[in-house]
Amino acid sequence: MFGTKERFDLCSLPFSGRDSRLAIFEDEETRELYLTFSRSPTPRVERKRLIRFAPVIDNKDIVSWDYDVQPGKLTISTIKGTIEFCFSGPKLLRIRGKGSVSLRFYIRDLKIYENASPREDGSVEVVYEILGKLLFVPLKGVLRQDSFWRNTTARTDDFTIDIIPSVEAQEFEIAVHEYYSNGVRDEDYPPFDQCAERSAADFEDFLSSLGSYPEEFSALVRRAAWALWTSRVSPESRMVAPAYLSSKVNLVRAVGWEQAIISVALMGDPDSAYEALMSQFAYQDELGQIPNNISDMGEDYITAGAPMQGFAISHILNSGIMLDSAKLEELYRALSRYTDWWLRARCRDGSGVPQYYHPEECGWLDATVFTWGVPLKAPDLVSWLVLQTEVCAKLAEKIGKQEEAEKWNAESSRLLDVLVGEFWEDNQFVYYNAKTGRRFKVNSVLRLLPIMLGKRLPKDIIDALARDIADEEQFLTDGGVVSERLKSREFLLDGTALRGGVLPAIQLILASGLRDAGKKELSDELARRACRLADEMGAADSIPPFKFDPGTGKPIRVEDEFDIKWGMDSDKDLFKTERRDPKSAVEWTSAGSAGVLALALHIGS
Amino acid sequence: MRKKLKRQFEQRHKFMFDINRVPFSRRLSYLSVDERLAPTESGADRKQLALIRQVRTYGTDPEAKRDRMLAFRPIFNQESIPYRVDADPGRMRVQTSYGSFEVCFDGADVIRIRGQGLTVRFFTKMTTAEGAVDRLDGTYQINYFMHGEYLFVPIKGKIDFEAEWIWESRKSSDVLLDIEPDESGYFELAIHHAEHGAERYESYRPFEECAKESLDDYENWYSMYPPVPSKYEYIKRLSVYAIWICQIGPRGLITEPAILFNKPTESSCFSWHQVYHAMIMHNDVDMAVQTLMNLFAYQDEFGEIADLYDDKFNNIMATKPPFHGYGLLYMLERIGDSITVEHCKHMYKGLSKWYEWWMTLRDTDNDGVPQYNHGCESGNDFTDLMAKGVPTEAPDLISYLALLAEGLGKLASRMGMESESAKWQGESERLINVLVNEFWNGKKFIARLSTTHEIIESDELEVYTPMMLGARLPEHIVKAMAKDLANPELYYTPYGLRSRPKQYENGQALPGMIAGFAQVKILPGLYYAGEKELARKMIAGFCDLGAERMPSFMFREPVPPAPPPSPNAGFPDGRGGPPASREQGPGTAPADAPSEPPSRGGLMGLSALAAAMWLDLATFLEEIS
Repeated sequence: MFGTKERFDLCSLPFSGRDSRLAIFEDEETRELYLTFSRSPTPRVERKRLIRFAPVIDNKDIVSWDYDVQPGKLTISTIKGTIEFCFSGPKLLRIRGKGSVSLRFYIRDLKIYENASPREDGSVEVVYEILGKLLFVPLKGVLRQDSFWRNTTARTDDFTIDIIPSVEAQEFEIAVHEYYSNGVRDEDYPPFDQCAERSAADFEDFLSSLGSYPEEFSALVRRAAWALWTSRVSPESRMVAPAYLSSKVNLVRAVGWEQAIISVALMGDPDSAYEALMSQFAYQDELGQIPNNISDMGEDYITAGAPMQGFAISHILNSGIMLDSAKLEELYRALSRYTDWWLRARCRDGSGVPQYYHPEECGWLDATVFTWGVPLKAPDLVSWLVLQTEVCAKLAEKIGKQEEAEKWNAESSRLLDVLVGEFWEDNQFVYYNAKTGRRFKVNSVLRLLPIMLGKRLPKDIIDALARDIADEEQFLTDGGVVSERLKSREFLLDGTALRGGVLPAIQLILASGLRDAGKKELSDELARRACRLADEMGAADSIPPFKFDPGTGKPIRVEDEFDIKWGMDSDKDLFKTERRDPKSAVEWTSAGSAGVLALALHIGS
Repeated sequence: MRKKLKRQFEQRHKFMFDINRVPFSRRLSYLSVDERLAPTESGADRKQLALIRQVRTYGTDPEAKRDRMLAFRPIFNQESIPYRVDADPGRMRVQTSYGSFEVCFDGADVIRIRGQGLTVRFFTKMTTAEGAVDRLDGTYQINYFMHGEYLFVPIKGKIDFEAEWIWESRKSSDVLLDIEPDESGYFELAIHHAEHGAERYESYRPFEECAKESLDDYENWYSMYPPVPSKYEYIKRLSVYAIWICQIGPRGLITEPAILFNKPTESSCFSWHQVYHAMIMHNDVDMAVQTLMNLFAYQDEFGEIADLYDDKFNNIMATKPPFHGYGLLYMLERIGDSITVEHCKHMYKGLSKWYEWWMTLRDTDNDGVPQYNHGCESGNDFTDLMAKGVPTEAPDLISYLALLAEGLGKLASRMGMESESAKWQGESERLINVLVNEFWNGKKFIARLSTTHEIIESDELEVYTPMMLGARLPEHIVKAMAKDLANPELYYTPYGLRSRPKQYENGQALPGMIAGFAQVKILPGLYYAGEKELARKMIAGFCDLGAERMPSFMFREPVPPAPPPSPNAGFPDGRGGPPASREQGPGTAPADAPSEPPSRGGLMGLSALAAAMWLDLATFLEEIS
């Protein structure tokens, strides 16, 4: 699935557990392995390379290793033995060694006040500010640690924790508890194999609940499902409902609109889909607004989030998924208030046309449609709200609120009229600066998104959109539709979100709309291309459509989009620019994986 | 001389203060206005007013930690003009030769500005993902990462707004916003702040009403405090103000109001600071009890309370000492008659769990003696008592817990739980016996490592913390400690106790550090131990020093000639820093440094903590006078 001998490895996806806030990944430059928290006060993990670990022989030399990731466990193999890792529930990492190899953790570069303290039973607690605490508990073999609190610097010196196998049995085992304030060891621990098997079985259940896929994509589906399955975290602290982090080692936030895309991927299990959809609404304020993203470190409302829930619910309901009336009521209540918020708080100029106040509100901070500023009247926003209001009407009807259903239907029709009447010009959708009224054409894929409305659109608009989508001079590549016109001056793959990469989420929206509009062949073709690309390159939020730069012929280098601004601390080198080779070109994210899963499901249906 | 005259004037007239000493703010608000060097639109920095919503971000990225401030200043014909500013708890007044403006709070979340004859210009820098937008309904919105949303609403006059989205940089340009008078020559502005979703009001209350409301709230808060010697009246007013503005919440994680370390820099509520505050809220027992128990609402299932806590983060990496027992006993003695059974139940629940946590998770060698795992847990982050590592069993901790057990016994008794009461009293006595039998080396108290019990000797003042126990200790121990504390070559100064024995360099006496924490816990104990004159003298000296230099949580001992102040004002997050020299002890720049307007705040201002410690001692002084 993932491994040193596989196409993808722990450079592009961490090994983590369902609901866990710990993750193991490989640094692709140094090839070192790290254990880190999936928790950070800032959206991006700043102290990613937190605890390096390595297999060691004769208590001194790091020995080279290979590793393999299966759903239940990670296995590191060396010439002197193996070390296996598995997660046993959300708060516990189990590690087992066989042979004469031992395991060394390097606790280094602690910030001031960070500390380790040993306990009488041989365990040691290591505490990090705001990130959390770890309790290393020896179960078999010996735990040796040399921590020292240096009072003159008010922090513990760099030290190591060594887990050494017993000479006779040639094995060791430890349990690593993760908690935030206090924790104690368990009275007893179930056998390692049992934990690994349970974890693997949980994953297989999850995988089989998703639905049916073309055989061609079974490996892709397996990997994407693993990425999605492990990205979930359970409620803790500020987080009151389970949600899916974008990544366990990079962007450790559950982004609102991404949960909507994830719910589409999960619709094979309606309860899971519902849970993902509702996860953001747990934080809905009295005005109806929901956060842009959340984590157990808090909710971020710096901007609103793109209102994609209507699209997701529409897609789910259209697939024949049934939700019980209690769920429908709750969904209606949350969605109607949120939709009201958009129609009021983002439409303050009396024009009746909702606006984006901030680029993040469209879903992507670097969307080129914002060249002419904010507030922005955008056809993609109007389209989201056409669907959103229509879904409110459907839900209202299902729960017997006829009058409200009529009101929502009227609003949906009005918005559709606005879209067609005011935003369609010269065979494409256009944008307006809401303040100046200036109208302009764009090169961004966002102008194609109104296809999400499918057969609600006039035929000529559908045909024009389909032509543009299928046009290999404009947006279409072997890997799917890119996010910025190929010939656009602003086309850029390095470090961008929506300026050239292929976004599985966007492919899903386009494919869904095309099918609804009667363009099934194009719809399926798009889905297939995107899945093949993801199979080759990885299911990232934004996948480079080429392996090699068309201009220079050199391999595409993909940098983390925020590495310049976030967490850059060159003195300590805690968070470096990540340059990847095509082998592990991109990071598997929850939204990327969900998009890919939904596309594969789409083809299969 | 001018300073003294100014002060006298202030005392004769209503209470006013300099916003460079303590910012203009109000209770329950996260906003404050101070004066500092701040950027302007020309690229140059300029001394101007700054509105901020303080946040502790915990990120390592400097951009994330930068103060998101709305710098503002008066301009006329597009030119910056000089101004004078003064303030009382109700309003801040800015005067220029062209016109003037006033600032007040309309409740906790709205700033009101009204003026005439000039324009007020706001300028702010933005970073990645932050945005500013014209809502197209006459109002203007600015969104910061973690610092929330501001909404500018012109009540009178016109707003000129300049900002654009720079999409290549993925952020807004810097923002310029002017409020200009209308034809009448007047303007009025409301600045709303919310974590998100700021909305204008349909109508706005009169400015005067808002200003009066804040002033009345301050006066009401002031009335909670007992008297101090009359010569300290102004400093009392200022100290009470510094505390008043630091009560914040509810918001986010903070579910009921608690007290920040200071404004505008220390954005968290420290658990043990609440005790210093609660001890002196004599005329409002509900507030006193609530304050003592601040942060217990977030006590974890094991009984631990956080070291520091704010609306966004729960920092329970470590904790702080269980000073609550001392505070509780202090309160019971003075306002015990007003403490009801309900109060007792509330306190007993949290405090008993707190005690249990110390005796379980902080007694890992199970010898019945609690330990510190971490420097911060002692309150003295760099303490020598942990020079041999952790965990460490320490005499100050045993003393804190002995008093906490005794306090719990008293609470239990008030609730009619006599057998529990006896149990707690027994526990208290057991701890004191351990302290006396195992931690007294014949001359002073020592600490020891947990498990091995290896002895750790230190000459830090912390080892005299058991003086808090007063007559509970054998007389010979009390006498021995009092002797050391009275010795000017060791800890005695006329201004309070030094953190370490007197040091010399090349025959020259070096000034020691006089830490507020130590005075509050040791000097009353010294007084009750019979050293009345000695204690009174030091308390009065400390209070005089605070009145002269403004209360600080640490002073450099006045020793002529004093060397220049240390340049190191502590760590960026203001939590104190390593000792610049061994004499200095932990902490920040001492309070004899020149009082220039701080460029970015910092701990040069009057913190709520320093104010509380000063008031603790000044009110005690009045009691014993």
